[in-house]
Amino acid sequence: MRHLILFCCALFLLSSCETEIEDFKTENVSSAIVVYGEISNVDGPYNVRLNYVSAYSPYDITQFSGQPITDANVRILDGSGKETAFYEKSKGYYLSPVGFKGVVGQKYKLRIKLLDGKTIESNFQTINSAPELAEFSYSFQDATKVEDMRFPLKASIKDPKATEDYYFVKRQDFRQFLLTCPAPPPPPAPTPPCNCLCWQAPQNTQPYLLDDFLLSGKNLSLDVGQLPYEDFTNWVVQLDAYSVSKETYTYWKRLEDQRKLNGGIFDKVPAQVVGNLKCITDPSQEVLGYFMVGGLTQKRLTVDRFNGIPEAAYRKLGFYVDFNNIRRKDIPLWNCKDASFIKYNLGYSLPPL
Amino acid sequence: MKKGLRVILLLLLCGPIALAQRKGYVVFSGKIIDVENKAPIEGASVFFSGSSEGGTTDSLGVFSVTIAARSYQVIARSLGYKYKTFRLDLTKNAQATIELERSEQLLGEVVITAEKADANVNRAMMGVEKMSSKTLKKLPTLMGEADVIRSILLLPGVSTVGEGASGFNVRGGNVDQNLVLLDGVPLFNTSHLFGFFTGFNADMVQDLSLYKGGIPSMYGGRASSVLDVRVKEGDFDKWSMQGGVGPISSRILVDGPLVKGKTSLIVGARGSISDFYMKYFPNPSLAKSKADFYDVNFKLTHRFGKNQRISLSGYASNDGFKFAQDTLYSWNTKTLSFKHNALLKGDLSHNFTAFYSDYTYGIEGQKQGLEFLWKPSIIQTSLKEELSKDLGKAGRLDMGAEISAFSNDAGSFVPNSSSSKIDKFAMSTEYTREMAAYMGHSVPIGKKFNLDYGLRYAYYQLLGPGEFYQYKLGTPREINTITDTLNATSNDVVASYGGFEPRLSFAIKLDTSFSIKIGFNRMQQFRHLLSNTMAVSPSDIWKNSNQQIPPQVADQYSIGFFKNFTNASNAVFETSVEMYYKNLNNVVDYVDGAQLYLNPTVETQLLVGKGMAYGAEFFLKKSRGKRLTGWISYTYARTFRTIQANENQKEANFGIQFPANFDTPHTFKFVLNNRWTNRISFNANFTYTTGRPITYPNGRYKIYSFNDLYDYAVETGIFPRPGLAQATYTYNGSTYSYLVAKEIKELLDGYSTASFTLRNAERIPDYIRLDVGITIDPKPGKRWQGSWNFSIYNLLGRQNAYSVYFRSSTGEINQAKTYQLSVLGAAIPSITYNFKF
Repeated sequence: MRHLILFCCALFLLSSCETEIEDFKTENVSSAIVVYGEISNVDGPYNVRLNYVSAYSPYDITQFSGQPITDANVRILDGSGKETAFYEKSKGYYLSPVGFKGVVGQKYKLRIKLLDGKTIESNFQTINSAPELAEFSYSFQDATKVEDMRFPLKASIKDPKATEDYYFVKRQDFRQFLLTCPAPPPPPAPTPPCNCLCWQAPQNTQPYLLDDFLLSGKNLSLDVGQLPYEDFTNWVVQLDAYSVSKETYTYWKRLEDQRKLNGGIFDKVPAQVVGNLKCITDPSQEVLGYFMVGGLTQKRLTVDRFNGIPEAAYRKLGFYVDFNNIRRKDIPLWNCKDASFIKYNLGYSLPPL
Repeated sequence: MKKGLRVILLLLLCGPIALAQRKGYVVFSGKIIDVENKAPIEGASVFFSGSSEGGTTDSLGVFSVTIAARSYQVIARSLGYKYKTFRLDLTKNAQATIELERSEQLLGEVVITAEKADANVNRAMMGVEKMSSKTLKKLPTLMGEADVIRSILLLPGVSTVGEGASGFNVRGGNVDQNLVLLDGVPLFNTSHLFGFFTGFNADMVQDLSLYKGGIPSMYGGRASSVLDVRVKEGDFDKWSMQGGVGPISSRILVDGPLVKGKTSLIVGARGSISDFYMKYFPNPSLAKSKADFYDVNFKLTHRFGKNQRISLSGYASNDGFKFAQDTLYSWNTKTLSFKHNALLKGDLSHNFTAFYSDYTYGIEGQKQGLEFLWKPSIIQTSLKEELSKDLGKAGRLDMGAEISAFSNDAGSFVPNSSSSKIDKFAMSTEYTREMAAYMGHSVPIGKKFNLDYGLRYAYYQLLGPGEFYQYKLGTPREINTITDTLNATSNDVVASYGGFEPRLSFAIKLDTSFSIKIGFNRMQQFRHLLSNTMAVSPSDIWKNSNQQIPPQVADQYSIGFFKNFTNASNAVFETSVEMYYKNLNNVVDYVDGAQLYLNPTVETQLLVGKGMAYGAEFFLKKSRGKRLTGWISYTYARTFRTIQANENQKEANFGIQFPANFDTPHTFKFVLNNRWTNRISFNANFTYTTGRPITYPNGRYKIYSFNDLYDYAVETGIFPRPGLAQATYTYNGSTYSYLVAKEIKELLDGYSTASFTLRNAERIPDYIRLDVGITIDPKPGKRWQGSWNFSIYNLLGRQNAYSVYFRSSTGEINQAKTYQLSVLGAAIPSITYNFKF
């Protein structure tokens, strides 16, 4: 649809078709409760977050996240009737006890009792077998200019035949970055140790959604794109692939369809996307969000951007890094961990998988 | 089935009894023909001074009027012709052939109708608008394209979802509820370039009639309106060629006699030229895009003597659209029709039509390894017989019957290359049959009253072969509530529906220039366009009524007041107020997030509900004038839908009534045509409408599904932690930098999405547009006749909102953003050259 708009712009010689309305604001007239929680076959702890809907205002920092709902009784029930209580780690953030872990084949549901007596429940959903990644690899694509050099990635899920399967995949990238060390002090002062190699992990909230409709039993490709070649540090791509129910897939698909609306003439009319939770004591209480249950496979791919690169490409990169000040020569630091100007600076090490 | 057929036969046999001719009255009958090629003129009118009587010619140009024996000044007129007036002394029954000359002069041009000035007051029907091809071409254009549907959008009671949206909405009806007939053949898609232009060539149009209410009984099959477009016939006397070059497309039309005086042919073709210049756009995506269309019409007519003719006509239209992507959208229509009409005996004429139409649409996927083809289609084959008998003083009697067979292929999804790893997904073809019989009688009752009444009976069958699902009663339809699968064999009747459609129009003439009219009509519709997008798209599928989806039925009640004024210079002003109330039963709606494509159980995604529309249309038209003609209209109209839960379905919008997507309460339009000189005229039209409804968010929320990293960093103390940031100061013109302490912490963020509430509860900004154009007509008397049209569409350059929408990014900081889209948000000039020789 977006293409159609661009086409119209070109066809009708317009300079701009889409304009942002910066002062649009609606009062928060919704009293809906938002719940999000997950359980899988991978070690916990699992978390559940409870909060209210916030006003639709793009730039109001106080409205960035909804108000948390505290002091709720949050439990997970399994198919055998066993209940596991969560504890409130921080406001509106509830964690499962240590050692609690989902089991493939078991069904689970979430039950929340609020302070005001309202009870919210999800339906039962079963943890499917964790999906298998058929391929997760990369290659190097040389080019004349460094800007055009790429590391194309490939990833696919091996879909079992004869079953209807749905997948929800999260992606988290970890980029190693190099900063410049300050010039050493003049002798005889000893040169302090300098750590210039750290990890950055910008948050990514874009899911991949896959289904095996018309492709059952085949490898389902994930459109994981390519990485740039802007330094020779490592880059790690982590995929968390969930095998989920059709209901879960449809929920995310509807959210995605709605999030990507572009006002075009073939847009669907937006509507509230209601998940698998409802308030069983007060049907008029709107509950949004989802309790997601799925078999999970986590895998990391380390893209080595140093070894195996053609000499000529590597030399060009050297000039490129220097010319574009990739390593921030203007802010020399003894310790890259201290760089607050790097978003999501994790320091020296990656989180454990 | 048998019951249905009995009713149809009964209708055919029953007609009103002709009234005996009264004493002192005579029958004046005859034929109105073109003075040049002697072709009969259909729809021409004959009027008599000092009498409210009048007649209209049928397809053979024949009329018959029973009128008191005395002397009259007779006026004969037709769209596109100069009117003719002559003295007539009637003492006994008489016959005459009246020849009309084509109207090349612009003097006294009639903008919208060529009927007698007070015909709008006299006739019983209301809610009918007629437009000639000449009027069509005088209106300002978008990119130089004279356009049928853009033109009728200027009439009161006709609206659209927005700029570039396919189709149109009449008096609160959906787009698929309009019966669009091109020379009697219904079209399933009337658009080129998605919806920017009409799918057929305006050069081929003889005239068009839009029935918003008071729909004659000969029409049926759609619930809301009828747009009957008549195609020109070729000239029987001499060959001519005309054409035009515009920025979007080029056109050519050739017509003339194959056998002089007996057989004529007209062929028109139009093709887009956008592909030609798209490749010169600097944007590589646009350069690789494709947006082409063409349409071709022909009509071959042969006369057998004076009273009989046959014609064979065809229409083909094709669209292809691809935007530098791997997906090609296409849609095309092919129709072929045969007609025979004859004056059988005295004043009985017959029209026989047989036609075949094939509408194929779909998508072709061209991505390597995933090539696919999806091509649904709907094929209609119909036979129709219409009889029209002039009963003299007792009016005119029309009756007829038609039978149609449809095959509706929902489109199988098939791999389209040997390397494609796509599996085939088979969808079924549904077969249906539709039969209808009708009778209509138009009769004057005394001098004060006119009555048009009619009855149509339509009968529909959904046939095998195929698999049809039955669902558990008492619970909303879902795939897991299927209780049984009916395997029907060929011609098994799976579901059938039938019903009467009464039509009534009644006019009370309070004086010769003032009348009050009331009307009622019922329409049924057995197939529905499934579209849960804001505007219909060319890949929307048509679904037949089945056990779960009953036919849509629309009842319209209307009342109108018509008053004409004539000023000292003989200019006529027609005024009218028409009010209507429309009740829509069994309108189709959709479950939230409905999956309509490749869904063998699509009825689980459909909801059936009620709709209603009401409104008042105020109209002032200066239909005749030496220099200035045009009209002004104001319409107040509302249209709503209510989808309530019942034992077989869930509700939509909590069961609360909501405005339809195209509900625009206030609409103001004017159209003017000002003749500056004999050759140059200025045209303008203006439209104001209330912004259409939209669903606004009532809040925003985040789903914390992507916070493993954040939680880890907080848990391990990575966030927050002490850090350093760069700061600078300037001294003596030099900038110095240093490090300052700054805490390293990140915001808790999540997948951001808007919370929505009641459907269509808010509105986008109002729509205002002014178009102007200048037409320079050819010099009279020259063989090569070149004409120019200069237009500026949206002269005010207003960025009318097509939509307001809400989008949030995915990434680091997910903000809720609001955008407005204007489809044609600037003044768009165009120039078109038309020629004829």
